[in-house]
Amino acid sequence: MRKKTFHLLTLSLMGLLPMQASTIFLADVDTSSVAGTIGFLDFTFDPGPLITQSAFASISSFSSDGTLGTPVISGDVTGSLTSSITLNNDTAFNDYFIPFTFGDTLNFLVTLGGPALDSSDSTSTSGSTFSFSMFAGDGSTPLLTSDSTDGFAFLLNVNLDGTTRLSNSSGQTSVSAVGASVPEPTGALLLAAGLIALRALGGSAISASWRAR
Amino acid sequence: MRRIWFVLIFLCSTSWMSAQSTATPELGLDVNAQTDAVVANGWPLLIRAAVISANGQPLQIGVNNGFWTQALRLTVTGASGAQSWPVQLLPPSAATLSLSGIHNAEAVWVVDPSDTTAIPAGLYTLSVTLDTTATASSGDWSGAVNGNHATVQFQAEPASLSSGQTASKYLAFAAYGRLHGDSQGAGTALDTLIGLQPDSLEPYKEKGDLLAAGGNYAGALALYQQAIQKFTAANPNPPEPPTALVMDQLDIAESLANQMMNVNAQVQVTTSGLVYSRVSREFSGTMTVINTGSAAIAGPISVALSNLPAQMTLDNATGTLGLGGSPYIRVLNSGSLGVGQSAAITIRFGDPSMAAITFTPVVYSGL
Repeated sequence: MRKKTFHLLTLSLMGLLPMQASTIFLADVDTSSVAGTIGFLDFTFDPGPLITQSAFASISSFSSDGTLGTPVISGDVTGSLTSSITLNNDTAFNDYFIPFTFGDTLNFLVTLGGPALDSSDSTSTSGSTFSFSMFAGDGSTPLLTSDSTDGFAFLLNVNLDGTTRLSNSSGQTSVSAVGASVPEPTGALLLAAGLIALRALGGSAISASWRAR
Repeated sequence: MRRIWFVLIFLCSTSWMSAQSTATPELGLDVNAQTDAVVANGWPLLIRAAVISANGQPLQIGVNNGFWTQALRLTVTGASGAQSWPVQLLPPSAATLSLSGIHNAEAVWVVDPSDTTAIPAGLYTLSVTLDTTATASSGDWSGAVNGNHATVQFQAEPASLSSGQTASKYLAFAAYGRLHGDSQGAGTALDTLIGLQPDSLEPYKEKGDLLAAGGNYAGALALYQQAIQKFTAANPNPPEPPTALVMDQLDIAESLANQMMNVNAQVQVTTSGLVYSRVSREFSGTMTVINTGSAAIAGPISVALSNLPAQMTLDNATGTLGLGGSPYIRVLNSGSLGVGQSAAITIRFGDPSMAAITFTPVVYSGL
């Protein structure tokens, strides 16, 4: 675990992750209650139905003692979860759906960025929303969430003014803002990766409920 | 010879014209909307005499110093002879009755539920007469006509009601509530019936009429739409369309159109992103209406989703604007949206194509 986290940290420092002005979140999930379950992880980032400003969501520094399978990708999604994936909001359904054998924990960074966050305009009328969900082996039975209607563990909304808003329905998941990066690789992402490293080393969980910026 | 023909033609024409201009009223009688009703003690009794112009010609009925309904005589006979029930004749909306081919009227007698408990079980015959022979106002119709007979079988309420009895009971209570201005009681009776008989059209129509009478045309329209959808589901290839339902629905839609006001210029509509759920198989998000104008906007406030592609559905729509019209969703039920205030609602879409969901929001006050 320590070696993997260190590897992800190195990737971050090498600049392989988006380095635009953006907001970064650390998601930390206690999956011990479903350890050994063969299921799925699902990441989406979708625009609204009106006028939506361009944005992306990037997943990086994924770390877990579970096992990843081969993903099914829909829409404008690039990359691999073993390094990083980027979901752009320029199609209706941008989805990274990957088989996963749950271990005791998983954590990752979510970076929201792009013009909608860097320089929000005054003409857009729809935001964008990132979702993270966990499913059982049938791909549709939600795990580790109280959201029985839609099965989302948590949502991150990109608001029209460039702020973000978290809705967390998972008691096993903590989501925290770990900072906002600026165009140059700076301490924010380093801090985020460092937090993951600390978590992997047994650091404490981070508060789950907050409002960013 | 030619002169005789002229005379004969003239007389026939005069006779024909006279027959056409002699308008007489015609009466129809029912009890709890049936001509042969079965009523349990403790249910309300509504006795209705419908009055029409027999040939559709204009006809005015009025009596000296009173309402036209004073010319009506209701008689009830049972096995023991003439009955004296505690009927209350409801006051008509006007003292004089003006009938034509399109204007009809009715008089209603009510026996309260508490009074029907005392009516002995048995079969009763009701009849009605309209007689203005001695009381007609000058120039108004003078004469006497009898209506049809109606029967009512009184009995103790069965421990278990049949489907027809259940409908009769709750429709009677609903009508009784409406006639006494008790909209809540009427609505409760109809909601109960809808719960017991969800596939029956009549309670939806009656509830729609109740809401429309209270000015809630949007709610009324939604109920009529449900009734028509149920009719269509039960009759995929009907020999004829539900004309009466559709006509009433159009009337309500027209009233709604007159009531609601486009307030797009006073608001901004925004949404969150729409995320797809593998559980619900829907895209969902939040829609927010912000009052950007200079005055409060009266509720109810709804947003119609114009130009929503046909293959997409607003799954939690409040209703649609007419048959096949745009779906709309209520964002504020009552009160008003003050300047700078916002109202938000969850929107959920079915989109099997997974294509981009697009629409043009149109915001209405009064919908």
